[in-house]
Amino acid sequence: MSPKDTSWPPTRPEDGCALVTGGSGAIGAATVKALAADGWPVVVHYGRGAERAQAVVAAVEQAGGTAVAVAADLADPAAPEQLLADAVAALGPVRVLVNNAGITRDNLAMQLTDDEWQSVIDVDLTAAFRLIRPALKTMIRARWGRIVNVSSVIGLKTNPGQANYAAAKAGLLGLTRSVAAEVARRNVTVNAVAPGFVESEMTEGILEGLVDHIPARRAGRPEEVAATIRFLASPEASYVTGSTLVVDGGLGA
Amino acid sequence: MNHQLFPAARSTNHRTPGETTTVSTPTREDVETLVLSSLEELGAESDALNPTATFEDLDVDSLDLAELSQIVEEQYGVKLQGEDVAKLRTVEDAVNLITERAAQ
Repeated sequence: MSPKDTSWPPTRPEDGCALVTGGSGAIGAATVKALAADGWPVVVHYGRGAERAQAVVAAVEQAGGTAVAVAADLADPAAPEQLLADAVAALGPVRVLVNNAGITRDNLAMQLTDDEWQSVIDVDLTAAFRLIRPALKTMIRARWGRIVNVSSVIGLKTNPGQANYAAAKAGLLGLTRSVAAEVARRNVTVNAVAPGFVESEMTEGILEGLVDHIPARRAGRPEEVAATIRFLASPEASYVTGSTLVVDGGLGA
Repeated sequence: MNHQLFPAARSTNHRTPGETTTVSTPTREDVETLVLSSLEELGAESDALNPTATFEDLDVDSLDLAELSQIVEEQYGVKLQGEDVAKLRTVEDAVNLITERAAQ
């Protein structure tokens, strides 16, 4: 497809797959299901949640889709590239990459250890880069690709006790914009979503006191974040790149 | 090297990369043919394409050269790093470097 080809509706490659990191978590699982519903075979990456990942695969298969679960410790520098190779071997070239995997190791900055800092940066930011780098090679050659980085409102606003997480999530936004500008003319888009407080394992037990501060007066559903990722991964989002879609019930409004 | 992103290439290539295939050592002529055809595919004007043409004159930028590196890797199994590519100024420079690396 020529970069100047603006025919409508836009198409997408008929082969290949979507790769969702952290696909066994709440937002990840909802994203896997949404992309599978759009007809993508999906590679469900997981770190520790093997059973949950298998349950996501089973749900996709039950709905008539295709999914496989692949384990990888994204803190390992060699793991992201290997994960991509495993995904390609399983379901073909990765056309859609959703960098969703994330961890938190909260502490006040003055008490944050090097390990707490580095482990969050490694998984939440560096692993995304290490997946994007090889994935782009195939995408620019194919003249089609969709990368969605799952950031957070914490990357845009403040949250005491999360300097590491905030740095990683803000870093993802810079990474998103820079790479988006580099590859836009190859019909490869790179965007971010910034969820607010969403019902998930990560926010379990902390939502109650926060809801009053959210204009929507409720936490978000994982499916509401997945729907925005689904849009950004769609052929129709062809002119959206380098953007951050905030999904926070008005929290940052 | 010019890092400015130039206007869109006019490629109509739909190929996707397959397995990296390492073939027998390519001749300089093979490499030159591949480089010239790849640059044309990436949008360089065919009339302007010749070994002494500079990438700047051809409107070939850093993204195009990164993609050329990808093509070379797929074709010959030769990995060109960013710093290798950054030194290249002309088509001939690229052909020489790739030929040299492929022979190693």
